Amino acid sequence: MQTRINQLRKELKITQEELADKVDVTRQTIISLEQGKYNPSLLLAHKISKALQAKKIEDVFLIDDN
Amino acid sequence: METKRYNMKKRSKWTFITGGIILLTAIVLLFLDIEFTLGQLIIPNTLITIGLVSIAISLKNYFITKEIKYDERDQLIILKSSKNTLAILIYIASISMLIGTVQKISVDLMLVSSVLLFGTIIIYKISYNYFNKKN
Repeated sequence: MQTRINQLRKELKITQEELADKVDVTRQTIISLEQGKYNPSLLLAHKISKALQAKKIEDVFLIDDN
Repeated sequence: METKRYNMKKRSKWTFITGGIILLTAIVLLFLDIEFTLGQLIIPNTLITIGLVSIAISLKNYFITKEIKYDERDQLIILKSSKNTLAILIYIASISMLIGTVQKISVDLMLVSSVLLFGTIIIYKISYNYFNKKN
């Protein structure tokens, strides 16, 4: 799964630590999500989309068809 | 899965109290000159070590760790590494059992226990690091 977390986070000028605190996870989880290593739960995806002011979850998380 | 938080600062006082009681018991036993032994272990000396370790852990939790947070990713890694450790232990036990049917071996219980204890911890740590890098 690809994500736009890094890009959106930089646009909003928030650090990984701040985003982690907002969505109540560890900074390591945000790093893994940005690297596309970890697939989040629906709840976490929703929380991150909301924290990054995205309208839809699909604006942040892109499912790779391949 | 929701994030679980453990307030280590709050919990550390109980570890400190337990450690203190163990240490006091050991000191009383030493003063009364009562030599309890369990196999090769001298109980008062062992109690002193346990008490000091407990107090050191409680101080570490109070001043350094303070809080432990397990989010959904941590919980997944813990679950995977625990399953992995259990599977490896079952494999080792099966192989040992098969070897036992072929050849009769007598081993030192103390040695086996310590290998089993530290082996389990090492296997768990390796599995944890592996899944932490992968996820």
